Amino acid sequence: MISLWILLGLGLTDLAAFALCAVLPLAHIHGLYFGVPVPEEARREPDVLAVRRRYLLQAALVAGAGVAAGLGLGAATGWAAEAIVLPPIVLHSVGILLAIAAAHRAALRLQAKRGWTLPDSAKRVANLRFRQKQRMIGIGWYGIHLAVIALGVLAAIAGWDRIPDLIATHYGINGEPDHYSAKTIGSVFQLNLIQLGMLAVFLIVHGTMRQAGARLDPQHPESSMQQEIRQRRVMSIFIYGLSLLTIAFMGYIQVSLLFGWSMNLLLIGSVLLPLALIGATAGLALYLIRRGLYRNAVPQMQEERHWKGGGFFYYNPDDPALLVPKRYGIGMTFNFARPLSWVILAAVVLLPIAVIVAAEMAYRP
Amino acid sequence: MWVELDLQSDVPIYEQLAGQLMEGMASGRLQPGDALPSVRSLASDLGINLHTVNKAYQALRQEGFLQIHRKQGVVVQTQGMPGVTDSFVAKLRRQLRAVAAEAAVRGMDERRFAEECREVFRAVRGSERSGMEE
Repeated sequence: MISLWILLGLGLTDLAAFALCAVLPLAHIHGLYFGVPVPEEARREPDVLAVRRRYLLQAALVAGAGVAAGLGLGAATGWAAEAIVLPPIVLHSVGILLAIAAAHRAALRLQAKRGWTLPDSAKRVANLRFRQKQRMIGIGWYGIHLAVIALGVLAAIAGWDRIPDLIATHYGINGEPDHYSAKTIGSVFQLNLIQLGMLAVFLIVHGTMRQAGARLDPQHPESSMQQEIRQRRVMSIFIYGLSLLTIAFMGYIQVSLLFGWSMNLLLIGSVLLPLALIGATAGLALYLIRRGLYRNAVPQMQEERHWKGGGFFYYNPDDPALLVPKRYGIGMTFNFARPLSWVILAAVVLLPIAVIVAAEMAYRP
Repeated sequence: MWVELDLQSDVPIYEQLAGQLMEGMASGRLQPGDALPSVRSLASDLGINLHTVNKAYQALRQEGFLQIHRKQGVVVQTQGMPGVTDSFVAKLRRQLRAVAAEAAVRGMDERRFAEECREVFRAVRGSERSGMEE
């Protein structure tokens, strides 16, 4: 029953993430259509709509192929959970990228045929007081995260005698504990170390965002600055909430494991949490689009050559900014010409993977 | 205060930047002791090379208009601005000479030339109350 619930949760998470990735390129953000400038009045023309239709068809095929592969491999392996879950995740993430890339190429061909261009202005503006005007959430609020972590540590110390000699330290995909560890300082407090590592990553993200380049619209400097300030505030609060939720959830995992609390709530939580995160991301995107807070950076012809891979990747060695507003979608993206970008990206992506791999290695039966 | 650059202009970018900061000081929008953004954050906001911003700051610092501290960062000179030195007068004359020559060739008389100079000077001093106020 529990493992069915987990399978369902993983499947829904995969589909929700897929849907979010599939829908965002359709949002015409920054006046771009699959990363290509398409004028407002051309959006309803048949050849433009055809690109969209073919993309939606491909996305639907990818979605179906992923589910079919999961079910097929699941049936072939006697319904092994990994065989059901992994193929859709891989197929969906690779497939949607290929579909977006194909739509981007089709849009580029249209652009070449019809001669659409971006505004060509070499103007740049900056406000000398932008950093003082920024209203991102204060770094002090992250003290609450530290307090949550400390609470878990104190609970473990205070209840040391009640912690059983064997602690379940690893759960299989079916929701059953498949490895136990002896009660040591390492096994009791390991989750606190992971929490601290995650807190460090969130703080780095916060700091990097504060330093990100504000690319304001030379045509409307004042209003685009107000938008940038509000967008940064909303995003800093979002990341704050996300990090607090994640770290508090890990604290709950810790005390549940140590004191043998019911695992049901935890399992439900571990299924709902990723869904909630995807839902929150979609909500944030919708909020920013509705408020018009995404359109502060107007793409310019001058910038075009710095955006590689269909507008996905920014690579400009002359630009000292680590983060710049995304060309494609909402939020910010790295300047990959700066080595520190790779380091931070590696920290954000690799830390959770390293934790999982380390856990797998350490507790291999 | 805003700075606006034109990357396609014939005037080098660092000169545009230094010139606008100088105008800010002339008009009073930048007061002694006002902090300027760090080289990195201004370059990030403008999407231009660090060295370009650094060159503008260093040029103004060498002339004595800015102070660059390790802790407070870049600050508008608080110890009094460099006065009207002989070398500045020499530079001013050198730069005016070319402009005056063209004005003379084009047939502008002395009074008109002086009037134009006065207006530019007043505009620079007076933009405190108009235009690019933040």
